[in-house]
Amino acid sequence: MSAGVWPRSGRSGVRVWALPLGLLALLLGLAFLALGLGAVATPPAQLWSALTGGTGPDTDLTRQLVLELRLPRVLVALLGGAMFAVSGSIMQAVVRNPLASPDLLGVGAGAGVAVTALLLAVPNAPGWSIPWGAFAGAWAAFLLVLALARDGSRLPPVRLALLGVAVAASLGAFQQLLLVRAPDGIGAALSFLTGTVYGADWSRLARLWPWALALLPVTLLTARRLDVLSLGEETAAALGTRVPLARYGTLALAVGLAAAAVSACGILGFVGLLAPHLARMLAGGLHLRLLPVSALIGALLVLLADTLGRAALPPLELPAGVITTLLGAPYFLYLLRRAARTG
Amino acid sequence: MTNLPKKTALLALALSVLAPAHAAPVSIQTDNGPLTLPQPARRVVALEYSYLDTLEALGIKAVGAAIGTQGGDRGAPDYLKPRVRDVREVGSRAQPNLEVMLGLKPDLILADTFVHKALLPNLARIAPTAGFENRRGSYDDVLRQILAIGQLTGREARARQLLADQASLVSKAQAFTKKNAPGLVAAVVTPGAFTVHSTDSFIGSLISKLGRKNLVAPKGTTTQYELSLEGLVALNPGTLVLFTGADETPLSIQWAKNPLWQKLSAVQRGRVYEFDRDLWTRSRGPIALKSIFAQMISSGLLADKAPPKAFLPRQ
Repeated sequence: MSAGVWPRSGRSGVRVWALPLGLLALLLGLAFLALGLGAVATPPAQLWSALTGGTGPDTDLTRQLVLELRLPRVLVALLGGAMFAVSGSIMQAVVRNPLASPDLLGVGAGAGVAVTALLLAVPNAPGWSIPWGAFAGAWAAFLLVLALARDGSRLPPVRLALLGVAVAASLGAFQQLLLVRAPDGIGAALSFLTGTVYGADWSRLARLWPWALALLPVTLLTARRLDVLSLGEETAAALGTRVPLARYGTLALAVGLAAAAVSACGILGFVGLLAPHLARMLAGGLHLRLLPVSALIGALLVLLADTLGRAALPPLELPAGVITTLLGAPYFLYLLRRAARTG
Repeated sequence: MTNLPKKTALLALALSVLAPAHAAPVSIQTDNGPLTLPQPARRVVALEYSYLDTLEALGIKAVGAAIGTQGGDRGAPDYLKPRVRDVREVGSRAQPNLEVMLGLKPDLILADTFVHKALLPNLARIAPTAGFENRRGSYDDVLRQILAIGQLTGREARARQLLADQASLVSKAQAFTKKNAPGLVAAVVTPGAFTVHSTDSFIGSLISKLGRKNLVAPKGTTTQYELSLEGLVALNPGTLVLFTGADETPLSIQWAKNPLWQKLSAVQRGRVYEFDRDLWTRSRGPIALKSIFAQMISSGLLADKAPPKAFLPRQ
């Protein structure tokens, strides 16, 4: 029957919820584990006592470890991962290109250059201004990549990816140039842009959460529009969508999410590419389902990367961005190969 | 005359700090603003080798220090290694582990305003943090920091003694210096970079202070920067001082095969010296300085004499 979708999802209402709920449970479990893991041992009993208001010198230390150091870091990792993932999902739908993601389209690099320039011009720029600077830079870079890559109204996937990487590389070089000419100390202040949540504290989180809180729910409202846009321009127009408005509106969301994430945890390589693909495999292509699953997977990826980075070789800390890049780069190469083969 | 009240005020201040060595609050000015401790610090974390050396010289065991060898850092210099066996490693200087530091419950963290600029707020939440311009500081900056660390740890008298020792070492060394010797260039040479240390850097300023002319001026606020062989030829120093690691193959070995290198006045005069960079440029404390002064004299660097075998550049 043509209504094949309905009976199935009706019968398996549990199944619809099973995946996001399962991921959420996994995420919470990992978060609790991440709060308990670190260079200083905090046994679960102590952790529990600290979180439930126990007293004593050990408990106080544990509470300080968990609330001052680990919790903000875990939250930044979760939000940053979710924002990159949702940003990537939107871009892949709108640009209709499996290789689209914030770091590959120059958005991350543009945000990085803009933050560098902002801190050079206004060394004591307030924390809230940094995501806005990143937003402006991200847009400029993104529009540049789109303008260069478009072939009439088409955006050939491999061309887009190549130009994105090229623009990102030249922006990276430009950022180096700015840093060479910068006074000492700015470079050190920007070291997090390479993609790490090391040293993330409540003030770093404050740069992030307003954007996450404002933008992530809105993306769910655009889910249907993303479904339509991912069918292609003509179909979307035929279905009554005002394509340019929908396209740039959703892209603005994607760029905003990525820019805010960059301003708090730098460019976490390939999260915005990997998470949407995994989500599509698990949850299918409908965005109302895809977006939350993608966000959960992105958050899970970054948290896992950072927890591994913290716990693997203490007291050394491996940057989360390095681990996500190690995971993501081979997958990107595989996608690139496949896309090149199919044209 | 107008100086008199100021002097007595200073004296009174000095006495007031000296007399109740315990339990009285300490206030000093750091390069990151004023810092007040309720009492002299007992549990100190040192995030630069310089601070570790200074604390040792003051007779204080650090509870933790950034002496990790991972992540591209070289770890504690050889002369400090036997002294810091009981000091807890808190990771590398660039990325010290905040958790380990918090776990040590320090009452003072000694940080660098350049290296740890972005980290200072995080450190301050763990313990009172004194930030000094150490990595990019001059010899005089480091002396001021010795005094400040002495005050923060209730060892001001000892710190002043260390400064007096330095003053006498400087005047003794100055007597060895040949006046009007040609200008020199001093550089840290790693396998990948030739980094000159200007008149505002730690070792560059010390060499100038002792009477040898350092040809390298700072670039703005940058006190040490990379130079190419061509840039070195343009300066054409009469003396070349290389700081290298014994476990590394410095770039200069490759440069020495270039005809341009042979044209350098320092090479033709046989005035190229090679010293241990861990001791000379990375330690920057009173204990290291004693050896540095001794080597400055015994190598013939100050007197502009040809180096003995031990300080000849490796081929």
